[in-house]
Amino acid sequence: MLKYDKYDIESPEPFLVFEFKSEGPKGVISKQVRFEMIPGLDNVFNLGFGDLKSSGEINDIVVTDNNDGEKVLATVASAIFMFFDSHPESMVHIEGSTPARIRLYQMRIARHLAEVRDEFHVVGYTNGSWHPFERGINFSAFLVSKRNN
Amino acid sequence: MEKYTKSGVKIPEGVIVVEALPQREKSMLDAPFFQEKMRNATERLKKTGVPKMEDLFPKP
Repeated sequence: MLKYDKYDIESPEPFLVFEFKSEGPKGVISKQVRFEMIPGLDNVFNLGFGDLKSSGEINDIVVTDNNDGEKVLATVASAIFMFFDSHPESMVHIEGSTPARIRLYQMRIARHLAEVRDEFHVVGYTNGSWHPFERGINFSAFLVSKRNN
Repeated sequence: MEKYTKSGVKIPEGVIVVEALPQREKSMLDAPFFQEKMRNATERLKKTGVPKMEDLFPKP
């Protein structure tokens, strides 16, 4: 995890909201990562991720294309690590806001699968049920929890 | 050297612990897709139940 280039990210305790700035050809774009507990489901959090607009709004659908996608995803991953360090018994639900973003998340998990499996259990949702993450299966959402080695 | 919060949580490299983030008029809860994702997650997990990782990943 530490070997990937990533942005510094700010968060107050209890580490549910994180913010950082993406820098690239489109300028400096503030981004937010948020873990929101799903009502009625203890310790299951939904991951939100989007751009902070100057108007104060957050856009979680926009594709910024600031030529730093890998760095942004590595930064989001560092927020996930920090979240799990402070909420080790929790589970995080991840769903892309578009089919393209779901594919992107799936490809990134697959690319770093060995490292991910060292730290986390990852299951994907397909055909109405949850299955351990495998390459080559199209999932529509993911659940991640920290391994209790 | 590794850093820890007052409550003993390890702080990864690149994470800056701040007192508070800037106040904003709107939050992620107002974002276009966030509520839909929350609803999707709730519906899925109420239908399937929260999967038990120890069943899906049995120890050898």
